[in-house]
Amino acid sequence: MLNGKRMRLWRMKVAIWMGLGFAKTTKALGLGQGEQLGGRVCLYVYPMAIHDLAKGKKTALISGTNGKTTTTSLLRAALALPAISNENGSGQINVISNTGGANLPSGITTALFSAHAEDSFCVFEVDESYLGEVARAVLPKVIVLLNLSRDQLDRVSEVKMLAEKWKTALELECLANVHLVVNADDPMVVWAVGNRGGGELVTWVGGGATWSADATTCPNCGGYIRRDTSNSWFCECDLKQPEYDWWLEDNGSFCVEKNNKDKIPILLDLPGSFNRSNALMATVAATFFGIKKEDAFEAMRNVTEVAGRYKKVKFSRGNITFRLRLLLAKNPAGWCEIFDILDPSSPVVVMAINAKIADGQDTSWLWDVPFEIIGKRYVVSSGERGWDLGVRLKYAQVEHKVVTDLSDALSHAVDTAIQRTESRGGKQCIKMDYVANYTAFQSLQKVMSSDKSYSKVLRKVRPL
Amino acid sequence: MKADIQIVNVYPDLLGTYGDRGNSIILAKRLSWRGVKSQIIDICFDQPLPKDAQIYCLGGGEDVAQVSAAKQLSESSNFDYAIKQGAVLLAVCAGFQIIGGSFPDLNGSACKGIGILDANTFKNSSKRSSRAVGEVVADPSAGLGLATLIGFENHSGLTRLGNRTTPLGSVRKGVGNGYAKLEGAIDGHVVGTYLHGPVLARNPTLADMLLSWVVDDPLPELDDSEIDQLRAHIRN
Repeated sequence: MLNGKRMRLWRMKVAIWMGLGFAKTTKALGLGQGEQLGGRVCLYVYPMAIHDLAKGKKTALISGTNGKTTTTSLLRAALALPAISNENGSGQINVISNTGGANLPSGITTALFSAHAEDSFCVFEVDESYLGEVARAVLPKVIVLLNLSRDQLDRVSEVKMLAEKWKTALELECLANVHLVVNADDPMVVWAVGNRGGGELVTWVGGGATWSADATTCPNCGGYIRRDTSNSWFCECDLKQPEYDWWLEDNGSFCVEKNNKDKIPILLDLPGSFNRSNALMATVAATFFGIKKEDAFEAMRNVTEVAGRYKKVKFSRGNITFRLRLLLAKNPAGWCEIFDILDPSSPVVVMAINAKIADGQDTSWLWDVPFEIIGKRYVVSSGERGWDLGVRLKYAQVEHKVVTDLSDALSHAVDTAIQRTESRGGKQCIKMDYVANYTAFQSLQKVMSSDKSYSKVLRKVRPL
Repeated sequence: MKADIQIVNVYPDLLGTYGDRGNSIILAKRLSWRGVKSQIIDICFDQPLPKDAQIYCLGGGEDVAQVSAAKQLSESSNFDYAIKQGAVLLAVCAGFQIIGGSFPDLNGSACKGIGILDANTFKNSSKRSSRAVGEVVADPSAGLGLATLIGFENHSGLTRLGNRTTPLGSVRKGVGNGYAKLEGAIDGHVVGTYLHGPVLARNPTLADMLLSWVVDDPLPELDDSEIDQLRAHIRN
C-alpha cells in the first residue's frame, strides 16, 4: 500500500508525463505550442501540480491589462544575469518563464515542467482574472501589478470587477508576506492593494498611465477621481495617489529611488515610454531577488524583441530596402502607446484587426482609439475585421484602403510605399510599421515564417 | 447666420465604457460632409449640462458609474428642459436603462431612473444566460425608414416597454430588450437601444434619422459604400 506522500508523488509524475505527452503531440501535429493543453491535462489529473512544482522556487508574478509579456521578458533578462550566479559563484541560475504568453494556470504549469532545480527563479505573467488562483498556488516572492484598463469587455469582467478580484486575492492570509510592486499611477490598482499590512511590503512605483478613462470614478466610494496640475490623482474619500518609492524622470530617461537619489539612465532597445515604465517595474521586482538596479537595466538593454513584438524584418526590392517592424496593440490603452512610437518617416502603416475569442469579439473599442492622430499616413486596413477599422478610419478622415488578407495587405503596402517615396536614386531604405491585435499578430508571424506566403507577400522581393 | 449644431456627450467619464464616443463623432462628420457645422461638447460628471443643445448622447457604463450618472442627471433641470423642448437623445445600453423609470444596481435592487422613457429594466436572473453578449440583428419597426439594425450587445438587463413606447425594432438574432423579442425604444426624439457603443457606425440610417430631426432641409445622400461593405461582411 502506498502512503499518502508517495501516492501524491506518483500522481504528480503521471500528471506531468501525460501533460508533456499532450503538449508534444499538439506541437507535432502543428496545432499550436501545446502550452495550454499540456498544463490542462496535467492539472486535470493532479490539480495540485502547479503548487507542488512551484514549491521552494523563488517566483515573481506579473499581472495587468498591458505590458505583462514585455515586463516578464525584461525581468527574466535581469534575473538571468551571471552576476547573481549561485552563492559559490559558479554557473547561471536557471530562470523559468512563460515568455510565450500562455498566462493561464495551465500555461504556467506547462512552463514549470522544465523547472527541475530547487533554486530556479520563476517569472510568470498571469492573466488578470487568474491572479488570485495562481498566487495561492505558487506562493510567489513578489507580485508586480501593472495596470487595469478596458480590454475584451465581451468576455472579461469590467475593470472594477477585476480590481475587486485582485483586492480579495491580495487579502488572503497565505499571501500576507508577498512583496507587492505596484503602479501608483493607476487608481484601480492602488485601491486593489488597499492598506495591506500597513504598507510595509508594498513598493509604490510611478509606473505611468497613458490611459485614464477607466479610472474616473473612485472604486472606493463611487465619487469622482480628480487630478491636480502635476497629474497626481485623488478622491474626496481617503483614496489618493501614494507617494512614489521609485519613479522616472526626464521623460523616462532616468530612474530615481526615494532612498537614493542617484539618477540611473534607462537605455533600452525596446521603444516607447511605456516600455521604460515596464523596465522600471521589472527592475524594482529584480531588486527583491538580490539584483542591483544598474545591473538589471543593463541586462534589459539586450532585450530586442518580445514574443515577436518589436521584431524588425528586412527585405528588398531592387535598390530599395524595407524594414518592417512588427507591433502588437490589443486595446485602446495599447494603441495609444503604439501611436507614440510609429515611425514618423514611414509613409504607410499596416493595421490588422481580428475579432476571434482571444481578441474579444466586440470591435467597439476601435472607437476609443484616437486614430485621428495618424494624420497624413496611408493606412492599409487588414485582418478579418479590416472593414470595421476601415469605417473607423473613414470617420477619422485617414486615407486608407481595406485589404482583408494579410499577405495581400503587405503587398499593397509595399507597392504604395514605393509609389509614395521620392526616389533619390541609389540605395534607399523605407521603414514600415505593422500593428496588429492578438490573433492578427499571430497570423502575420505565420505568414512571415512560411516561405510560400512570404514570397506571395513580397512577390519580386528578395528577403535579406 | 445659423448657430452650429451642438452635440453633447453626457458624462463621457462615467458613461463611455466601450467606444460610445464614436456616436458623436459620426453625427458630427455626417453633418460636416453635408456642409452643416457642428460642435461636440464633452460634459463631465462635475459640470452642468447645457439646456440649449440639439443632440445629447448617453453611453454605456459600469454599475457604480451608472447609478452616479442617473442621480446626477435626475438633478439636472437643464437636461430635463432640453428633452421636453424636443432635443434629440440617443441613449445606449446603460444609458437606455437610465432614461426609463427604474433599473437594477450591482446587487439587483431597483434604482430610480430619470423617467423620460416609459420603460423599466430588471436584472436578468436566469442562471443559464444571465448576460446577453454577442452580435444583434434586428428588423426596424415599420415607418421609421431604417435599414436592418446591426450591432453588438453586452448587458444583463431585461427592459419592458410601457404602452407609450414604440420598440426600435424586433430581434432576429441576439437578445435585445429581452421581452417579446423587441429591441430598443423610441418616443418622439428619444431613442434607446441595447446595440452598445458606437451603434451609429454600423447603422448610418439611424444616424441620419436623428440628424433629420435637427436639420430643417432634407439630408443629401452620402457615399456609405464602405459601411455597406462592413454591414454585408458582418451579416455573412
